[in-house]
Amino acid sequence: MCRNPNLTLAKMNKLTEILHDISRAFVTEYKLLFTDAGALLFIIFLPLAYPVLYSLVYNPEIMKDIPVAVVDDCRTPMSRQYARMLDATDLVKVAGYAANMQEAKTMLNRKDVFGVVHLPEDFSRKVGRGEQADIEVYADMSVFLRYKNIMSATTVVGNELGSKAQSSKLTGLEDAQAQHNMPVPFRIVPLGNSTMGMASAILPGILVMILQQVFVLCICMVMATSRERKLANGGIDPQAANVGAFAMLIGKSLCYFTIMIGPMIYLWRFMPIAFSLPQNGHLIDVFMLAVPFIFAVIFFALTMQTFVRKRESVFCVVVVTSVFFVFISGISWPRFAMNPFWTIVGDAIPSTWAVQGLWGISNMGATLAQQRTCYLALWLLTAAYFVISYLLLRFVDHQRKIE
Amino acid sequence: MIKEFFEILRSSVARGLNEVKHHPMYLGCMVAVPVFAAVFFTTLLADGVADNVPSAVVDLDQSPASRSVVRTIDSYQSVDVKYQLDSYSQAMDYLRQGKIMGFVIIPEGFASDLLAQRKPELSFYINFSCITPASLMQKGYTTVSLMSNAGVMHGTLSGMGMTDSAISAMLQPYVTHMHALGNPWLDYGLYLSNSFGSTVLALMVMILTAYSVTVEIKNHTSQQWLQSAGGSMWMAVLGKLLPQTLIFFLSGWTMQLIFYGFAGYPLNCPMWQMVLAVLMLVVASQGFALTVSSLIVNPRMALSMCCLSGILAFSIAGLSFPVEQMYSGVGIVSWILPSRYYFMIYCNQALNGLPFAYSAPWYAAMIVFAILPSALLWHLKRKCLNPVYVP
Repeated sequence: MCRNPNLTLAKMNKLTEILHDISRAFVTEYKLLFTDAGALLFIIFLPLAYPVLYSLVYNPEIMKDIPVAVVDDCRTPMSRQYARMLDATDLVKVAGYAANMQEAKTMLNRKDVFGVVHLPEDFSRKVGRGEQADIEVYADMSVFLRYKNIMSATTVVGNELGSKAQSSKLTGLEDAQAQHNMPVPFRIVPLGNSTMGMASAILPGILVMILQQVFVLCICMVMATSRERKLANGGIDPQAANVGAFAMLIGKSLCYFTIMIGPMIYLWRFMPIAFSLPQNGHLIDVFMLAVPFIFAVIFFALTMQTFVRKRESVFCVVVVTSVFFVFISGISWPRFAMNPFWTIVGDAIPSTWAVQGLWGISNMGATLAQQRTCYLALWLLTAAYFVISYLLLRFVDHQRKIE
Repeated sequence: MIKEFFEILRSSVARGLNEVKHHPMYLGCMVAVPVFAAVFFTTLLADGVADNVPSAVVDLDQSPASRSVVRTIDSYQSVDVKYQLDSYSQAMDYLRQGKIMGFVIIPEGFASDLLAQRKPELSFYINFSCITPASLMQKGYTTVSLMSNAGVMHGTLSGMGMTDSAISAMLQPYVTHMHALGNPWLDYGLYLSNSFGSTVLALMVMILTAYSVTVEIKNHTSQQWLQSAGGSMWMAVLGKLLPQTLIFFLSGWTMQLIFYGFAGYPLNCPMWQMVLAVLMLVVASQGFALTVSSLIVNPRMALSMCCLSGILAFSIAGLSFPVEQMYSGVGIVSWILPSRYYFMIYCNQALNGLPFAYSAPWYAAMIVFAILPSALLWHLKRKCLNPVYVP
């Protein structure tokens, strides 16, 4: 085999040159970041403060004792028992009796109560006669969770009273099968969030979102500052490493990768411990998922920076997009019930996959292999945003420089 | 005197308008983002309700009775039985992969236990990581277990000569009728759009107000800004913010037209009440941001404070988790945010259609926000006369 030593040498030289450029970009980025007090403040302050603030809001987890009014037109022991049983549930409390619906409505309007339970005049008479008795429940719909509590409480109490009435009636019947099987006994096992609370459901997603948005903010801000310097210095940023687009991207991404590991561990490991969020998965799997997520976020940010060119506008864009990213990632509304268009848009955002993956691993105790879709999607996004940011840097920013 | 006043106001407003004209970002904040938010929240959800939650069934019994349970589950609207699996571990695997949100286990010997009165138990496993579909499944499964034996029972009881109405009374002695006031469809989009959409608007107002005021310090144009208003801080602020108020108000109105017109969400009050509310929201948010910017006359700090409170408003204003259920110290914070008052007005007026008097205090509270900064303008003026930009 014939080999050209000069060619190999040239290749070697080229490679050393690129490696040299990458390390230069890497070091320069560190310098730029650590001399930028504003960006530093965000990296330190936001991950520290935001999760604590959110936890303070959602840490009560579940709602207890939603006040409801009872309008008891029946006034029998049975109707009073219903009210007592309703009051005894965790979910609602009977805040008062109203003489009639008009009074109950006033209580509702004044926000003294958030629901009204109406027991009609023939409530116990109908049961005694062997007819179906009606319970009318009116719920305020301003916050869905209140409705959920009122609905569960009245359904549970209705069923419980119902099965008592049933068993007393059924004993009179001869058919033994009928006596025992109403209703089929069942149990509900809540997984992934055993308190069924708000914090355990929402915070894992918020922790992903904070990590992503803080670093998009930081990366775009450093780039925007460099652009502002260019404007001031006639198209040259004296502090930037003068290297090619490829070396710059790799250097920058390595720099931010090393910096993001700290906040990631704090957010994804210490915050769940501090606020007792579900941690059912293996720590290794959580961190393995973090690797492609961090790279995807970095290249996503390096793509975004082309469109955001001022320090202050970076701030606005990141803040505003975070609202939409939260919803699109499926934290509050499940992705399978979303409009297909928004599902596709969500697929292109790193946080969507990280939220779904972290839910699977931390909440449900899945392994990384079981969450491979999310894992692979994050690598795919990394590759896609790397190519896009490279092309943008190479052609669009280059174009701007010439102008 | 009056002529002079209007002359100053005119030149000040002209400067404000000019500013809007020359910054495309301003129009983006004022028009594009709010209108996008309205479209986003009204179209995000395919239907307003998360029906057909993907789930699985593990039928270890494979008897006619167990199959009848499976059919009952599948017929229920909120649950979609996508897979019939063989074992608990397989179902758990599917659950962990995120293919399903929950599953049912019908134990081995279900039918024979049922006949022998050994009370077999159905187990429902639900992934509660995402609350909305999980609670729908919980509701569905509870109903299913109540109803799954109804078919068998119906046959037995009618064989004993009971009438249909007596049988239904036997099966379900108490019927709970839920009346969801104002939102009988339980449409989540309706709730999301009205509350979160308006909070996005408030966020944009706060960001832009804080930015456009403090940027004068950053660009060292604050003295010129004051001069254009004849040296009056009042006039300078008015001239800068009035054009923004108008455009934001029109955007807010457009959002409401999208909600109540295009999306057809209920509007149980005269339109003017909500239009007034959105105007008050814009003015109150401007007041809030101006107060912050007058206190902290540093572009980045003021902007950060406004962003922080604007973003936290989504959680603290009690849109999804009620304020009275938060820790008391946290709940209080909700009342310093204009979005909270708009949300209360929306609930009272558009959703529940209450008499105007119930919301009058909330409208009044928003006026307080608007006049609050007047007490601090002297501080802003001092900083404008001696601009020091701290990056």
